[in-house]
Amino acid sequence: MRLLAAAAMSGALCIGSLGSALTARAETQSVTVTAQVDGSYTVTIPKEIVLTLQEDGSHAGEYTVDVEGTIADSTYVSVVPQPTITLSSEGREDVPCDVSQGVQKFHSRGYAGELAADAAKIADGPEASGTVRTQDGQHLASGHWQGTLLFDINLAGAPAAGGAGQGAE
Amino acid sequence: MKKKRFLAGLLAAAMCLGGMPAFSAHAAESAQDSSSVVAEVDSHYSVIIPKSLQMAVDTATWHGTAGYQASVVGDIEPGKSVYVVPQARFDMVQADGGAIVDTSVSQTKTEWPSADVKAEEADAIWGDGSLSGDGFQPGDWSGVFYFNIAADDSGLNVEAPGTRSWRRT
Repeated sequence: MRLLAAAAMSGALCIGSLGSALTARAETQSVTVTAQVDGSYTVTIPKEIVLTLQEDGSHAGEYTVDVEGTIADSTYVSVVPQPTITLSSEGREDVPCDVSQGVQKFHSRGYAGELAADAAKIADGPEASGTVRTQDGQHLASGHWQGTLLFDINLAGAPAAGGAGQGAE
Repeated sequence: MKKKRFLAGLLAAAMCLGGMPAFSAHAAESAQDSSSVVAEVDSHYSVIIPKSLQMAVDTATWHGTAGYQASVVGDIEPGKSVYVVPQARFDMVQADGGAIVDTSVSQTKTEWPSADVKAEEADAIWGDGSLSGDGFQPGDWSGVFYFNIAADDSGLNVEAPGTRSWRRT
């Protein structure tokens, strides 16, 4: 009640001052009211991906990507990993690895459009899984191997006047 | 309650301002984050040494000799070596008479650094060994000598061998 009263009072003060300027011309003007509510989201990617020896002799590791939050239906969050990375080990030649991630676009829970093959809706729990695998079934020699996988994270398809994301983790 | 009043006032003021954006928001927000990709691959190796040797004795001098080869195959971390060191001397004993011949053993290669440890036996780098002793009178002789096998990264330390396996030919 007090909240409404305060809002009404403040509004009255503003409109009052505007109105006083208009009453001299005896005109009526409408005011268009708009509101843009920003979406917010959090992207969770693994801190570490561990590759292990596979039956085919290659080394591979799986990871999951999770997107949480609320975004406009007209937008989607894209989480795109580098397609290839390089693993290094002291005294060894670098080994290239392929990265694959089936789902890279995350639409709102209420999105009613058709989902592309690489798209999913934001849901509870991880929505996407990916794999890092040595190229051409290459075998990693003994040693400690290390590399870095970069993810590009964007809020895409946003309307011109709003829809900012809230960063990524 | 004071906070609510303030918010209500702010809302009303924002309404008065009309089409001006109340918040500055980007159409899309971008970020880049990374995951660490790691793999730990253990060293493994096999040592190839003879299962048995036949000494040849020169009946003019009663000097006995034998030759053999030893090698290491597998995958060793850079900076580490595998050592295969034969016993320097051992006794050959005559079966019926109990005579003993002090027999010496030498080997041209006793250290296999990582680069010398090949994955396949076909590519193996071999060390040549030889046995030598004097005084082999007619009769049956036998003896046993041992190899110290160790994987180490701090030099020759065959007294405390690490994990080892070997295959006899």
